[in-house]
Amino acid sequence: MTYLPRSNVLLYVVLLGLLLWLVLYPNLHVLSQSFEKDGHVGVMNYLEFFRNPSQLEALVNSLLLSLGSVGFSGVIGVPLAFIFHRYEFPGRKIFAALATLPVLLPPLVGVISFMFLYGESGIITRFTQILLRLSTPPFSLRGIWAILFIHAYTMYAYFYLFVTAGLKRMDFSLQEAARSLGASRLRTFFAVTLPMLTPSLVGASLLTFMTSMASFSAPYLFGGGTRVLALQIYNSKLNGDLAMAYVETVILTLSSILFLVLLQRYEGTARYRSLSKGGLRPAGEVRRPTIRFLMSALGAGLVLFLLLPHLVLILISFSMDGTWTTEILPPQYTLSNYAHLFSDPQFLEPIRNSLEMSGMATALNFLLAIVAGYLLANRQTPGRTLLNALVLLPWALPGTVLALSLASTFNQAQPLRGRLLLVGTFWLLPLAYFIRNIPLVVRPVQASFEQLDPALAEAGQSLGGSWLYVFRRVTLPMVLPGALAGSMLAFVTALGEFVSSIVIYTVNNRPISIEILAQLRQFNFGSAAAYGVLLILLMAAVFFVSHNYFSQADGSSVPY
Amino acid sequence: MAFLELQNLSLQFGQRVALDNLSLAILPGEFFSLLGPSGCGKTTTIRLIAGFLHPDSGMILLEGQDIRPLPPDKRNMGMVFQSYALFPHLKVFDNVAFGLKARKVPSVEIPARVRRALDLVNLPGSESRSIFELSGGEQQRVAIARAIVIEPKVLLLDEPLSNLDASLRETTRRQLKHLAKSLGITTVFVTHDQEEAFAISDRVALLWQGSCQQVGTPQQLYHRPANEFVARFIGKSTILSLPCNSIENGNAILALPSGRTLRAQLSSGHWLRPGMTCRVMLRPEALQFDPAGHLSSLGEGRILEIQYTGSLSELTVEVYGVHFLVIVPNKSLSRGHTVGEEVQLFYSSETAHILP
Repeated sequence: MTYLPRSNVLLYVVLLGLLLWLVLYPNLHVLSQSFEKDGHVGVMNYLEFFRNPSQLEALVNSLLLSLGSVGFSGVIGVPLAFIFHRYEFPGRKIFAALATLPVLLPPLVGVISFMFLYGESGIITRFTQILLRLSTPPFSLRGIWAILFIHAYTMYAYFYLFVTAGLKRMDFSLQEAARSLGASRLRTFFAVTLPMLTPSLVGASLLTFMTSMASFSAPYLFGGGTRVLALQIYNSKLNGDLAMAYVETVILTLSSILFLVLLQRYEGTARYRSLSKGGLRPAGEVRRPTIRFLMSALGAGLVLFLLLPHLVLILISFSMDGTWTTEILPPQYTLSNYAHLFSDPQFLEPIRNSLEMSGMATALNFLLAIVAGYLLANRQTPGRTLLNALVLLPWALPGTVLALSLASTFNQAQPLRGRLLLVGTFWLLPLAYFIRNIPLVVRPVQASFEQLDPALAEAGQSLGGSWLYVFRRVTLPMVLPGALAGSMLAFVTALGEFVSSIVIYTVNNRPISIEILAQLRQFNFGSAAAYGVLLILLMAAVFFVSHNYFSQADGSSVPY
Repeated sequence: MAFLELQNLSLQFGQRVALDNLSLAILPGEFFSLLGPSGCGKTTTIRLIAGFLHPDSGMILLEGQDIRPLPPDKRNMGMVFQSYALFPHLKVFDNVAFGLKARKVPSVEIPARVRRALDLVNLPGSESRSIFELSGGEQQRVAIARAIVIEPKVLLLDEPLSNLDASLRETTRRQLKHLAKSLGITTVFVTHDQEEAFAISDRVALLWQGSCQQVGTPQQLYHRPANEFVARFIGKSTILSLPCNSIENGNAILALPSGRTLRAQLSSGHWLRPGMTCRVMLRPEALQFDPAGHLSSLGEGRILEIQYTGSLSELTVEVYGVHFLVIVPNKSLSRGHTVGEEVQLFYSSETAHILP
């Protein structure tokens, strides 16, 4: 172990204090509030929740929706991973890369491009209607099936990425061993391949489940009255029924934390990691020309389908606001939407707000991640489990939950009780961005610290460098790529953040996502889409930069 | 006067005893090896010297001064790590210059000193190369250059040769010894490879289970092992339990199962008395089938097994139920032995060593 200076103790105390105050305390506050009503303390709020059929419906809907999302995402994502990573056919590499596209859709932006495509007056809907000469739209993207469709469309990427990673790690001599021992292809698949992929499948399932439970944008815009917990919290708060909002928050938080714990446990065990390292087999050549053609066609079709939201968003971003009414495609095009974005102060302000708030939050995230990553990677740090749990907790908290807990804690100035008056000010939203993105930055930084050969710092010290000198000259430069990649990801995530924003934004700090929604409400589709394209471009730039410049040897710069 | 002295060092990791009352005295300019199986405490010892670990008790004296309170960066030790621990984000020059910059050596002096260090390890002109462009052997030499450029008081080498392939390992160890000797630098070398330790060292300490089994020259360790562990760890041998018949002129007369006797020199202050049983060690190359000189016979026997290794053959010879290991040089193709061959085995009394 390296020589630990006393200043580490100070850093540790500051970090722990900050996390307890900003991450844990607001949740405890909500928990205690959920047991209070009109000055009385008790479980009456919970009784009311479980007696109210619409609340129960929301809980059941949330659970069913999440299970359904897991099922559909898995059915799409797993075969895709196999097709693109076990077989060789023309265009495979491009298709394999493009299949991760949904990751590049900020939540709200994804949902609105679905509206443009499959909504009641969407492009595909109208096209089908005219093609089939129907008098009414053939389908409407509303209700629980619409939410499921959107979830499957975006969350299959988790399964795709996890299973792809699992396949890349897999030692194919195991399959060969099974075959040579007399197992058929099918038997080998079920007896060897599938069990080896269990950690990937479980990890992807839990992540999909948690994301679905927290999902807000899709139910908000397409639910059509479908009750889900994440949305109920927002509605209860809007209706002024804070006690109920707290109960809903606690129940949603508990179910999320439960799944986070399960996820962590499976990540920790990785039971089927192969004993040997070698034996990787390249994708197998598909010989039969018809199947080769079919696979390429399937790949191309799929990629086109996956690209549609992006393409349609770009198309509409050039449409003139207010001209698109009953046509399949917008009739008039203009560059003015983009011109507005950067010249009109009214359009520019949300961009400036988002940049400012995301910038501040990310700078803090970066600093905290360096300290937390360093302490978490050091086995001598006391209370690592607690520290780790505090760092991961924001990941388990749905955006609405986080926003509500912050809004209910920082709504009055009681500095002695750790409460500040931030509600209604500019500062609450950047604080929410910061807290939400803590895990996103800490995890890659922690991984970088853990991958560091401890001998490097020791070599620096034995060469006469003080602890600080070695940290500055050796340790920091080596974890910087991971830290920068994580920070950039946090930055774009914050730029497009919608779920917390809609709960706590004020007139002073209206972010891009809220402006997109406002433009949508005024039927300014072009302007809304232009904002969306801007966000996607920023996100793509970040992924490109972090993949090409900051990726580490094992490509683990970006978690999930 | 010892240059570097370890006094009664003990260290425990939880329940596991890593070092148990270890004392060593290393002389100025000496090439000293810490040898032992994995987990014996040799790496722990070198890390204690470097300052990465702290002993539970005991002292570490450098030139008579206790260096325990000093952090690693104040100890002035040059360390070469098993993984080399070269900084991957720095070029060769910056790797070698790291210790000089950390010491705030005037920047005008640095390039010349780096150049000299790289010349010493036979890598002239490689300053601007990236670490990733270097072969394993070159990386190892950069690591050595980085450790010696700071003119350390002690050079610590933690299994620096273990990541090299066999042929490179031999040349490198020759160069390493030459370098340490020409710089006159006191060197502590950690290895689990007995042959490597013997080839390179002035003296060797054999460690086992956290304590020192024997310190001495390679010759002392090989021919006069202090106990059975040393005898078995270093080289090959036949070790027999034999009763002592009598003691004559500083020689023990031991009874062999064949009825013959085996004569072994006794060291002064021995504890052996007639009637007691002792363990006696015979090195395989000290046994032969030729009755040349003043050798005594162990008796008639039969070759049970032959392992041909090129320059030598290892033979197992059975004499009255006792198995002896014999190593004979293979001088030509024709003069080989065959399994089942009847032979007579001879030894010299000065090569039979009674284990204390």
